[in-house]
Amino acid sequence: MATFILRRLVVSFFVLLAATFVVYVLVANAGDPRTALLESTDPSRDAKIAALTENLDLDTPVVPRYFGWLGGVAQCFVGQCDLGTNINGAPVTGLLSVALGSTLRLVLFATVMAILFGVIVGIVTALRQYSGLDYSTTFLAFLFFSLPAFWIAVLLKQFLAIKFNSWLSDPVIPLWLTIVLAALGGLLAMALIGGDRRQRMISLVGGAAVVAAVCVYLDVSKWFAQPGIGPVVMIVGSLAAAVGATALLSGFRYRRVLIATLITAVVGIICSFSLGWLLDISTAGTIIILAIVTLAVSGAIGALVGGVLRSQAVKACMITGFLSGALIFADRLLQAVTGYSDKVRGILIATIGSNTPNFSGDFWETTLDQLGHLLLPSIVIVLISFATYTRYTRSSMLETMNQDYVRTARAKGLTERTVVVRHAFRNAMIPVTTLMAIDFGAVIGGAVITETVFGWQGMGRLFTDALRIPDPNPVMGFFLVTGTAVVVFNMIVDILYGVLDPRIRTA
Amino acid sequence: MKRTSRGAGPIALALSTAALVVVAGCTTSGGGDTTTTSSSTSGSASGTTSDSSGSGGGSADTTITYAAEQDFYAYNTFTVDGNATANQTVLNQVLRGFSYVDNEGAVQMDTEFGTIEKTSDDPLTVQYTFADDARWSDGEPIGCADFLLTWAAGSGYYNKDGSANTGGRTAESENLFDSASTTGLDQTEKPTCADGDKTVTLTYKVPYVDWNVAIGTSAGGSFMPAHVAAEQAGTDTAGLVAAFESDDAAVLTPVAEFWNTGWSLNPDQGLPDASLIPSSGPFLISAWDPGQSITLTANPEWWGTPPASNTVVMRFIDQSQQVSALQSGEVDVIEPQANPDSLAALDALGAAVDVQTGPLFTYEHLDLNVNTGMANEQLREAFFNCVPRQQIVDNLIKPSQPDAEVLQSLMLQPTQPGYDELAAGAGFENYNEVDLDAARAAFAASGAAQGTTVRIIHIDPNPRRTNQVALIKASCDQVGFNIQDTPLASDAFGAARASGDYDVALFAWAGSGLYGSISAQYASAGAGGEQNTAGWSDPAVDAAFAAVNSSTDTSGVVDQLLIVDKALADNFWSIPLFAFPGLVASNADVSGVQLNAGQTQATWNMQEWARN
Amino acid sequence: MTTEKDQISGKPAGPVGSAPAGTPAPGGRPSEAAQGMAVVARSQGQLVRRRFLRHRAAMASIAVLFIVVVLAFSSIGFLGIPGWWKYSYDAAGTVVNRGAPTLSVVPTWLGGNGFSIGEHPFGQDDLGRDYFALTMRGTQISLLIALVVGVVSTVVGTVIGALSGYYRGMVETVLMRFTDVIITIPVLVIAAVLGQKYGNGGPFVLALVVAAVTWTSLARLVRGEFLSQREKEFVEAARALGAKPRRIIFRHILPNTVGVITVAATLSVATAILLETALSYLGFGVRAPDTSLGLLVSTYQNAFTTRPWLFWWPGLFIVAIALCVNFIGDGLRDAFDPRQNRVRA
Repeated sequence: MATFILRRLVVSFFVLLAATFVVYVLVANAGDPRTALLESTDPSRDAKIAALTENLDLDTPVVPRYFGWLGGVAQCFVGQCDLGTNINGAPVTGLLSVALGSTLRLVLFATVMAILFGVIVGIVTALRQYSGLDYSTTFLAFLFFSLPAFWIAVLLKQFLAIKFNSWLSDPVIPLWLTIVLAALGGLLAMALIGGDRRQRMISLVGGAAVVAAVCVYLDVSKWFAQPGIGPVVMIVGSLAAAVGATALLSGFRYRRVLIATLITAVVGIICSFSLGWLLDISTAGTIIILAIVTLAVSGAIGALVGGVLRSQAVKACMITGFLSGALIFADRLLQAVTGYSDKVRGILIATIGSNTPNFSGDFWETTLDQLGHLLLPSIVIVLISFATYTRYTRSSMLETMNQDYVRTARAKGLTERTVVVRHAFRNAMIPVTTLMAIDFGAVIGGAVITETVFGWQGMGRLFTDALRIPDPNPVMGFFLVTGTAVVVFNMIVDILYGVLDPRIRTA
Repeated sequence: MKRTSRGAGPIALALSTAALVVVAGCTTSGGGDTTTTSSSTSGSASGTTSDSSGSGGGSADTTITYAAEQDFYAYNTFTVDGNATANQTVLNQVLRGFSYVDNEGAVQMDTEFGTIEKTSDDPLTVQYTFADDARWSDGEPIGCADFLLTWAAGSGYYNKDGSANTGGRTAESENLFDSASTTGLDQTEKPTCADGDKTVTLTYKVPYVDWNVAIGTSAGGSFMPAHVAAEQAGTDTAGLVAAFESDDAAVLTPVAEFWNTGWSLNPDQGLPDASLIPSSGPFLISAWDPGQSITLTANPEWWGTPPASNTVVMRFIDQSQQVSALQSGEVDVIEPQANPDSLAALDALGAAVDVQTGPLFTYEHLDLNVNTGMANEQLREAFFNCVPRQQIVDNLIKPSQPDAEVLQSLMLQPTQPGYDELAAGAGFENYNEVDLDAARAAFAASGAAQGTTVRIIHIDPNPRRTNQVALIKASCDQVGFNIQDTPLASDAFGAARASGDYDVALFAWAGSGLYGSISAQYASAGAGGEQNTAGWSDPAVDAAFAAVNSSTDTSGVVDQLLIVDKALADNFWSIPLFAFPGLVASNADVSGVQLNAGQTQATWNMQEWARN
Repeated sequence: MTTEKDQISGKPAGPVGSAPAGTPAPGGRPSEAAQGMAVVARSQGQLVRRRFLRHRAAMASIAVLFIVVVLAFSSIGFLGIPGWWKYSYDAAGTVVNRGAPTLSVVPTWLGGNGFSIGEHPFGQDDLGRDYFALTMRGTQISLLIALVVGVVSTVVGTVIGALSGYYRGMVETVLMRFTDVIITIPVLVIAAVLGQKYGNGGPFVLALVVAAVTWTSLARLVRGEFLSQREKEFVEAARALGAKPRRIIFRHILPNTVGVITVAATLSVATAILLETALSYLGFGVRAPDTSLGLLVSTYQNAFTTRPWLFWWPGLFIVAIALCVNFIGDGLRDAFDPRQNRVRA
């Protein structure tokens, strides 16, 4: 294995080297960065042309110029990167680090969300193959995949941001919206729960009724003017998390797991009523500490109470703890909305930029500010890349569900939960995992259109802006980072294959 | 749509200007020469709102947000690298000077900053006097040292090795200071003054028409804080003045090094220390979030009229996204691309926003090459008669700027004083509408064969130009031409135009409001017409330009330019089409925003922006 | 496999089409001998055809796609053959009523104007050109690009994948490392360079550019298939009988990988349409005066709220084509994978 990895490393290095050369030559042939100046009659023309020629070394033929650039890159190994300057004379390293930071914040978050949603929806549709839900998610996934990104962006800006923000100043839920939402909720419930005709009708009506009730409650209680989760939802939510985690991980046959998660939920509820003062003075650091403490305490409860199924109890308790912690966090965050809204003149959901300029507020308000700016671009990215994950997960899941070992597991009399979670799911995730690895390699490249439309100065924008001029050094800087990421992640995929599936010979 | 007035200002000021900067649809060469301010002596309808308030009243504690297209990257806009619209937009009201070009293209004196006085015509001598309390935002007085530093950079007086260049002008790349331009100042004697002096006198070796914007204008030759550069070079202003006096290379070389690169920003490191970037205007730069926004706040040391609002935030937003940002309330002032859709979208917002449209200094035109396909005068006449100028404006410009008109002069732009006189006299208006009969007659007289191919080159991709050629083709092909649309990539276009390899060239020149080098485009190739690749040559035109360029008094300039415009029309050399449409929109509760026809963007008068 | 189709470092790929490096797409395997048990006495081809014909979404998609193709090519004509529509896509005219579409489908009893096509059913653009004709021209170009990309990238990808999978050794090393290099090069760089050199090469050149970067995933897929197939007994047998490599590749192995290739090819068509849209948005795609759906949509992206028809019509066709092709690919993949056939036929 070691020699295999080593060989892959060496090969990858040379692949990257060859690719940089090709790209360098291509970019050099894409046009002359002095073009605009050649036509200028501005008095500064000659000086600018001379300066640019010198800065970018344009009088040198392409091949030696490439090696000059490579020399600068080689200095990275001694911590002195020199990737040249752009046509304005700004060092590329600085531009890259700003762009990379911006892209990672934007695309990473969105990709994680897309994976999460995609995998969950993929599994559900695989378990309900050829159902109405399956068809409609397939249709929606392809539809979102086919929509141009800026199209979705424009729609979101118009309706989710501008209209929503102005609606918030007088939050009345109109009747037609309640009806539409209720109908959608009913249909979703019906599709998810399934069953025979009678059961489906019950689900439909029940789902619609619940959604309608929630809408009416939110409207009557003026919830949107003073948002928060409230003690009832907090208690119900935490207990539901406990039951859900138990159902997913161990089932109810062995009571101690359920008892453990319920204890965790109760502890969470008590904390939510007693620790408000702590949250008021929180910073990002204390929140992380609280999260760790929460997980540790939940784990401990699971370990103490879990009995025979200790390891499952620990996991279930940690999930319960995490979820009820998340509820507490969300509640506190929502309570900060009113104050935040006043500070930003009611623009809760931003349409542009990565933060409100010069915004100052406590931890909760700055978090809201970040989230408000992340929301729309993340939705765009999630909607578009969600299709890939759903489809992959679905077909991978279907494939494993038809494997002999799954049939064997069923034949043994294992519950459907055990079959799905323990036998099928894990194996189905092997190809999806490699897809994720490749995807993360591509994440670094940023999302050109989303970044432009939402005003994020990310990698994609850096690259396309430079390529249009064409400004060689930023393009090369971009390529160096993204090319490395692609090569590295491809390599990881190849290695992963060898590790995950021993049948695949490592060629 | 309030820009109605033009030419109301004193003609003397109005005429002094116009250095044309070519552009072929691109903004990177922006810059030009300009600046800003409130204290206008002009009677032009726009731009003097804050005069009445006088000094004394403080700034309102309000924030106005402006959407800028590009990020800021250099504090010194007079360097080769820093000379760009992106930086000028930010620095309009941070670095002030003696004069500026206003939003209509007229030169205005900034009397708050100081005064310029011409004391002699022969030799041309100009006396500069800084306001008594003129000082940087760190308290350091503005005076002799600052003047000398900018003069040293802008005159090309020092060579790379630090030696003084007392003889003729050397190549700009050989200069110690990497200044964007040395035009004008390279023809001046080295000024002398003592550290702390508030008055400096500049003497020209030859007359220079744009003397009143030669130095101390925010774009191009703004005054940079000499005490900062001196300190970075290990000396002080007195030492610096002495070094200029004695041409001391040992001191000047590090000063120039800092001047060249020390004010360039690295997004990685954020805003430089406040002491490095003091302000000489109503605003100072207080924060920078690279790629996101830059914040300007009122300069407490500013001695003139305080800005109406104490904070202006500039957010960097792609032009296509600015309308929705205005709608959502995240910005107050935007300059989106003027197109039918942005205008319609803004109009749909109704009373919530104020919208202004108007012509910019950039103008589209057709150059007919007399060395190639358009050598025959009758053929050119036929072409003049079949170009659907009115239709082009109606179809392509009016949807973006409802009051757009066909451009009638190649010398001056519609907002500039003197334009009406040129428009009436030049004779281009005879060709507003297509006259197919006249065109056919001239075509027949030329003896050209039916289907004579005429190549119209233009830069691609640019849908509007493609559309213009389509309209010209539809009309001129009826006369007997075979118009061949020849879209070229920008470098191929540059090469074709430079070598004269075209029949007709469709492109734009971007004016800065200064006259400086109109002659480069239209004089004979032998008489300074470096950009004249179409082979036009007329002694009367050359004489007119000689008179313009050497006058120290601008009152006769329009008459000379009329000679040029008339020659271009009578010889069927070049056809003006339209001025590019401009668009600025602001939140209805923000007042004082005005469309700027030049390159310095709407921020030219941001000190007057107020929230009602 | 990219998170977003406008991503520029990777090659945008269909949502289900291209598998990660070196593995067959899950569920996309061609059927193997074992599945023959399900239905007796039908050939593999017949099975696949039957299953495909029963895939309702795919069938509907084929119908829609067929209508789109016929509409696009018959309305304004092609290659000099005149069509039945009265306007040409490049004839400027007078803009009437801001160019609003005259198509009316709301019947009179609902308060509409009844069904009528009117002068300019899809409206007019800035120049007064008929937008229906423009949209049809854009559809033609987009379909052509998609077709060329589909064919070229499939052929190139299959050949390279097959050669390296079959011969292994040096051949594989060289070809696969070459593939790796191509995979890392951003498509935009190639598009920008070729756009500069052959600025007016037209849609065909653009299609070749797109094809030049989209074959890589298929090559890896096919190589993976060949790696596993070449070890199978029937290949062993063929070799033992003295069959030449050429015969083994084309007659024995290739037919067994046709499922993977077909699915990937359909999806590369969908990818090509979306990639062309992204390229046009960034200014590296088809250039005026010719047009494509992507170019129309991106030219009028800001017309969204003011002249929505300029945006919606070409957008509708992009989505329709992309959706149809994706569903057809989905149907093919289900058809080639017999195990997914169990629930409901």
